[in-house]
Amino acid sequence: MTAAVKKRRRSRSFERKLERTAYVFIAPAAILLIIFCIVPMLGSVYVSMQKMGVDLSKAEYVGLDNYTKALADRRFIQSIGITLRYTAIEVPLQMVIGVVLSALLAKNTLINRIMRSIYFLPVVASAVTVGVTWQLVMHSNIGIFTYWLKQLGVTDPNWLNNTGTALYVVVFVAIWKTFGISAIILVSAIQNVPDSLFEAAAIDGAGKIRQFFSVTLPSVMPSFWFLLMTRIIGSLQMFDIVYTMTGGGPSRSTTTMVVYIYDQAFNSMNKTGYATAMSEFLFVFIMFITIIMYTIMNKTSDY
Amino acid sequence: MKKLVALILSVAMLLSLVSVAGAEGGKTTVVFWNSWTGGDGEALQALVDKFNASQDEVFVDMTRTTSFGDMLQTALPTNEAADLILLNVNDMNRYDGYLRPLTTIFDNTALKAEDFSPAYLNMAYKDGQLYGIPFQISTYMMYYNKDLLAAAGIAEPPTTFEGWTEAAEKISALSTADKPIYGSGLFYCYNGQNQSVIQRFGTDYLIVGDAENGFKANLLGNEALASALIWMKNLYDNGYNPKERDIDSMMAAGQIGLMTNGGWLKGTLDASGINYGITRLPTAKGDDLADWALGDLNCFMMTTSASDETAAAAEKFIEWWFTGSGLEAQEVTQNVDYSGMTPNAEWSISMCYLNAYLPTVASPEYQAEQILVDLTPSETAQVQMFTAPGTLFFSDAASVQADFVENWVFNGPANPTYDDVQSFLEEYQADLEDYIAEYYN
Repeated sequence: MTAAVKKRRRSRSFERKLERTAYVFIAPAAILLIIFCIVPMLGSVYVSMQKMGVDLSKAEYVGLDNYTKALADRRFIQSIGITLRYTAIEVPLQMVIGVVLSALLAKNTLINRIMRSIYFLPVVASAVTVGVTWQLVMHSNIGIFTYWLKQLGVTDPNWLNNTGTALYVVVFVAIWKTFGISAIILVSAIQNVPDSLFEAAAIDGAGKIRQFFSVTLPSVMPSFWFLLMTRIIGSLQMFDIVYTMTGGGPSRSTTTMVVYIYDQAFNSMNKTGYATAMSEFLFVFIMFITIIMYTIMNKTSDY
Repeated sequence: MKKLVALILSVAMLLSLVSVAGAEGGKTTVVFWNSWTGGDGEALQALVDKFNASQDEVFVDMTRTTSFGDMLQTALPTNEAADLILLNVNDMNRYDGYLRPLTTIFDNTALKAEDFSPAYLNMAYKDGQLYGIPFQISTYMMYYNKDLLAAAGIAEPPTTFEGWTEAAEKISALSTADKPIYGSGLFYCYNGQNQSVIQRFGTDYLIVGDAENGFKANLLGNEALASALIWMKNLYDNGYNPKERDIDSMMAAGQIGLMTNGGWLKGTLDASGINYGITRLPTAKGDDLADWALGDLNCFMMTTSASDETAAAAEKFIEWWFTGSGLEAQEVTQNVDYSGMTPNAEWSISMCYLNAYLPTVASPEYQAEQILVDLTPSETAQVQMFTAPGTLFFSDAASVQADFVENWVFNGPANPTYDDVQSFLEEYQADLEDYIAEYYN
């Protein structure tokens, strides 16, 4: 056996050892992932094929019935429509507000630091507290906001109890609750853009607005995409603020997918399996959106 | 310094644990969950505290929560639910397999089966096993603001729904720009309240039939239901009833003339200081309808999470509820001396809940409460307000009702006719038929 062969073997043995060590290191995380993510996911697929209530031992296997039933359930279809409408309004508004605010607050002045903290306060407040508080603020009878609207001459300011306006009120509150996080993430992204880029743009004659669109925005695109993706996923899963403010009403006008799934799981008889099947639809839908977003992100981002 | 702070915090945490254990002082702890979070919740807590202070064997650890159903559904399969719960008998089927039969309660305690109204106690039996002891009949009544009625020149609260509309019109006329006042206070999103008035139009309206001959949805072709829906919508369209999901606070603020609700509102109104009265709900024609129930039955039930020890301790608490002594001074209600009453009698009288425990019903204190005597159903009465026969349909039938009432009132045609109601209800009839097909026929 030549020295070169011996060396190659030693190298392979060392690589295998390294590999084994790596597996040992990732094993705890992998085990946790399997126990807390993979097994429940498979379990939920199993449950989605059962007709069952609380008692799993009395479950009856129904194959794909729950899935076909969901596709024919007009209330579920309606909740998908409401969720998409909510997402289509909330996400763009949230992103625009986040971008504008981050541009205004990017400089590390004392006032900007204070304003960033203030804008971030609703983010750390509990969603239930926010929902209940805004419900009182928008209350048709005792709400301060409604009172102001009446003073301004608005004839029917009962927006939270109106089927045509309730969803917009919820969107407004959801944006109020979360725009701080969008702004903060984008601020930190802007602060990481090298000054030399702005200086070069200024030397080339670019004004502040041109610098924003030609330097700032392209530089923060990875953060922007990340935010956009998390906001879309969050909107598709909207539950807490809707549930505390409107309970899905009036007349189901704010019943999002998750509110409907919750209602079927906890307020109906023997529908745990059915609710789980609808959750699987939501999961697939979110996964589909995420894959599309990743694909677009990879194609458009230089990073 | 950091180590010192950490040490102090650790000691404080340990001490707090010791103090909690000390509070229970070697007693058997019965975990008790319920959803009594309304104005009646404080009164229930006061009675439980009284029980805990009255003896050294059992400590009842009560949690009152609006998430009661969610907690129960998720905790039952893992045996981590409360030992004792308050549950509507309509939900017995939902938790089938997780409720503990109360087979020994009449042997182990001074309670006797014959002391409970058979119509109600029988509802708590399933397959020959007793699962519940009647806690209260959650009754719906008409609350009225005496001052508003007087200001509108109305001498007596209405006894018909036509009279309700007339009174609502007069009371609503008292409204000012600063203080809107509505004569009528129906919650259109509130199933129990809607049910209570619709039923008083004289209809078994959701589902009719029986297990032998089959069930069917009873929305279409139901004249009484159509009349009720037209009445409800006209109240809203004419501005006599607000479009609000929180009428209780408006009633407490003196802005509502007439409304329907259960005893759970009483504590809130007592605390608000408004001058209110309670009477029977009207009927469509002012007739008696004594055989029409106005409420649902809630029971003490035990779950399979209870051990033999905690179940025995819970039995002691239930026994105390019916035979022990209640509070000497009840703070949350007015003008009644509760000394000497059992907790059950005090609860019933102070909160205006009908009682299924016959010694309480026969007591002079109960009989002195005219509204309770008036509302107590006859022996042949339907004991459930929700008219679906049996109990399996409750949740889903209720969800269909919740959908159509609000949708009809807010989005239905103006000046509606019987035919408008029929075409509107078609899809809801189909929904109900689907539920029936799925669960029964």
